Amino acid sequence: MTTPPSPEQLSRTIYDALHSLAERLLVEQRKDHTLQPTALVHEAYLRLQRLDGELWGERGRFFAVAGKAMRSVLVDHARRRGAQKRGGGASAVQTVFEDTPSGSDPVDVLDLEEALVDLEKIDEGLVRVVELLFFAGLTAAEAAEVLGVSERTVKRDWRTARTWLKARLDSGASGT
Amino acid sequence: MSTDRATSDWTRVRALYEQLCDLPAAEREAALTRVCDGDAELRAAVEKLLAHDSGEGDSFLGAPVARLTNLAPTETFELAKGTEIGAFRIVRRLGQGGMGAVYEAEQQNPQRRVALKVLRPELATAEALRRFDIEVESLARMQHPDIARVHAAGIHAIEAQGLHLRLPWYAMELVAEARDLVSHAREQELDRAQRLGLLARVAEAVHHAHLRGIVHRDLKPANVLVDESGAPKVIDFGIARAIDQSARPETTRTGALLGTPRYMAPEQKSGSGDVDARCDVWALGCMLRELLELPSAPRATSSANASLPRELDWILARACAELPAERYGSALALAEDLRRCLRGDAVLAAPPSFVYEWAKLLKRHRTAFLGAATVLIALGAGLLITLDALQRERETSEQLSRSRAESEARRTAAESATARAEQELTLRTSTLDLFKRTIVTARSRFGAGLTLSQVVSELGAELERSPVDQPLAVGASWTYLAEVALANGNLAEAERMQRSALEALEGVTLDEQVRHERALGLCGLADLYRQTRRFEECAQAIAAARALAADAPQDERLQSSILRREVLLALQQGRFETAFASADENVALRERVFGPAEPETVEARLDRGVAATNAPDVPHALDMLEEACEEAEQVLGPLHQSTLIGKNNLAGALAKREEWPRCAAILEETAEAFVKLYGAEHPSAQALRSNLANAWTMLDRWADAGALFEELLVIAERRSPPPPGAALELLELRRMVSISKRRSGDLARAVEVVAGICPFEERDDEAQFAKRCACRIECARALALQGDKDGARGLLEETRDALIARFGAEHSLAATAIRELAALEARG
Repeated sequence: MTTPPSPEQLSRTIYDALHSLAERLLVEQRKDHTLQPTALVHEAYLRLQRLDGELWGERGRFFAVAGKAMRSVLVDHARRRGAQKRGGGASAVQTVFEDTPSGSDPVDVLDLEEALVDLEKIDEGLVRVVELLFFAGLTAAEAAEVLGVSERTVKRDWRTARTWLKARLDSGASGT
Repeated sequence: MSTDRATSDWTRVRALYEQLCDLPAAEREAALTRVCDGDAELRAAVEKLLAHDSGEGDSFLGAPVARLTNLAPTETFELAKGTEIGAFRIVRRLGQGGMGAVYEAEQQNPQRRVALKVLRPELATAEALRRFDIEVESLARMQHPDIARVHAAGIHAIEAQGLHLRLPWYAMELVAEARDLVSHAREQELDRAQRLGLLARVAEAVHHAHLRGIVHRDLKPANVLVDESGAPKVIDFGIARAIDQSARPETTRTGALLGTPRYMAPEQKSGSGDVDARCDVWALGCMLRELLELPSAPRATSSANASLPRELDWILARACAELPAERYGSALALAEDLRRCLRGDAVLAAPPSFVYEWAKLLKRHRTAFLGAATVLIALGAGLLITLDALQRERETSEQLSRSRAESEARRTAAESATARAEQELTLRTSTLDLFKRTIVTARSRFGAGLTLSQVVSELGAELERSPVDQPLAVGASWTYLAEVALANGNLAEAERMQRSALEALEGVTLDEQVRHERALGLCGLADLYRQTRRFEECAQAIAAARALAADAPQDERLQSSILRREVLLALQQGRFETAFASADENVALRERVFGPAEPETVEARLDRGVAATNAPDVPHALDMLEEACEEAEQVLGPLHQSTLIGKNNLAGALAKREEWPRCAAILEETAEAFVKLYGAEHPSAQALRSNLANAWTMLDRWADAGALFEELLVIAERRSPPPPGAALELLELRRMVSISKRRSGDLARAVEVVAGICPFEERDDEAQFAKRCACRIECARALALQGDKDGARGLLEETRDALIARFGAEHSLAATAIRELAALEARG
């Protein structure tokens, strides 16, 4: 090979790959607006693994970027759907995470995103944890490895992040 | 609230929350009072968080949207022995690859064992499945002893883990006792010659597929098996494309991700270039390196491989050149160079260091090049064509400099201007010598084409990099660069450059020179439009140039440039009488302005001759063109593009008179020269050679014609983006390949080349529809000769009906189909 791609290029590549794959799968496979992101990332994973053995050594970065990509794909998808529906004259449709266990309200993708953006402003680290645990589905132990911190720290951050987000979604205003 | 403030507040809130959240609810109250110390705002924030705290876990965000870590690509299912897939029954699992599992399977009828590859279900998106069908069909038609045959393919639906899975599969030739290429070489302790021979053989097989428009895209040792007899078998041909739905043009970025990075060409990896035969050439180079057990850095220098013959080093560098254009143009060329190397003959690959030396030289003298850009580049085209022309061009440039100096002298102080002009002249002359030297050396090593493209790109890049406050010089330079790029057949680059020229001159106060350059820029644009058959835009550009020139009637050179564009447009559009009248006018104009035997005048005479031979009733038209061609050989040089194209037209005129031997002789000569100078990919080279192949068919030289048509087909299929009218041209080439192959006895190919284009397409216009039908008729003819009477009949009947439905029974093709049917029955 010639010169190895720079870290920026590399993560851009991963991001583009995940993003376009996810988008395409969402378009092709989803007739309704529930999401099956599992299959989506699976394919991304396969392709990336083929992309570069050495890159794959950096699992951490893959998950970090993949979590982010997943987040943005879901948001884009929800926004587009909203826009389409409005354009069509019907009322805006919520895209929700429906597979949360019963007993709790489904979370609206766009509301959650808004809250995450606010949280990012005051505590980026917590949002990274949310991306790893919620969007990329890592366990606390795995996330700890990715972030280079202890599992205990991840668990504490996760709890704080969830509490903050819940409070924020509850009040609909600034959460602090 | 500022972000800093918010963050620091949050840090406190967070710290308190995390401190208190594990306390029993009863104790929180007291602790809150203690730690907040009367800060009500802080207390409220912490309280709010605590109110929403639900311990280590609850349902909120409890189920992640995806679990990436569970998605490691382990095999999630295995097909059991005895499972039936299509006509095959699974016998045992042979192995596991990146794309899926391979099984040994048996078929009852015909009775045989096959290797059955079952792809991963994730690869089976709807689009991929559609593609898979199409691709596999073309793969199945590929017959080469060193390529594993694909027997059948399909989609197998199963239920696994509560999911409906659709598994694309294909059955291919089972290779007995298969080892991969590199393992085989190691285990059998092959010596270097044997390894080179083996790779050459693989490259030839790969070339066979390329000729059929199939690029492997994932060549690697694991995809080249060697059987017990030591024969290689390339497997998985085109599968990467078949399953990679992203191969669609709009998503090439991700398309590039499929393939094995270690063997992937840079343009494939980055998704920046077309994935064509040259990607496979790169992969073959990587495999060669591995076979020779060299370190895997493709750019290892000669010194790094001291033990390696330098020819091999060159071959490796050529096969794995960074730019596709610098690689071997075909896998066959690589194979041939390997064989030369084995025989001890000189190889075609040149030492890579020379490229660097030359590039360095160019870099070092970039300023000089740019300083003289206008003149230099104007000379570029001439230089490439013939070095004999150099001296004359140089004199012209000196004259030009002198006349510029003279006009300058009028405006400014005479002395300083003369000094400047002299300086300029020295610069130009020395640059010219340098340029000449480099081109002479480069051509002796590389042949032509490459060098001038490099010069043009390099100078273009320099023009872009350094903002020059001389719109006139910049504009003129771009126009010249565009002209050279156009002569080299790089239409897209030429258009970009031509637009840059006009941009540079945009908004500049119109004086005579600016007007001249702008009008010339428009003429250049007109050339581009004409060559890409955008006639309306071409006419507009010419009209715009005319409008500019109207204010400068004294600028007769410009008038004549524009007039020539009008001639060429009329010629291209088939308005031969107009073309002839204008061309005649232009010859008179140029004789007066340039002189009777100047290159410009000779070019105008060529135009006139071409128009004359096409227009009705021009007396002595052929003589006129013949004389013009002879004159062009004298004045412009025998290898000048205009001379070559003039002679092509002469051949065309001879063809009209059915003087085939002379026609073919002229075309043979011009086509060879053209390809040597401008490369086979040049659009005019394609046209010339297609004329030649057609002339050969008239002389019953079917084998020669067939081979040439095949080559033209490969080149035409590789063009990206396809030029206007490409679809029709491809059909015609296929038809001609089929006819030639049938006439020279290769019935299999005669069928194959037209078999894949049978279905009618909705977007076909009449011409395309007719051409498709003509192809089908050829296919039927070859089938009939092969003895497949039913196949031929079916094809003919369907074609006849389609033709009658669209054009009526009177149409000549419909009549042909009917006649063929009758002949088929008569043959009994």
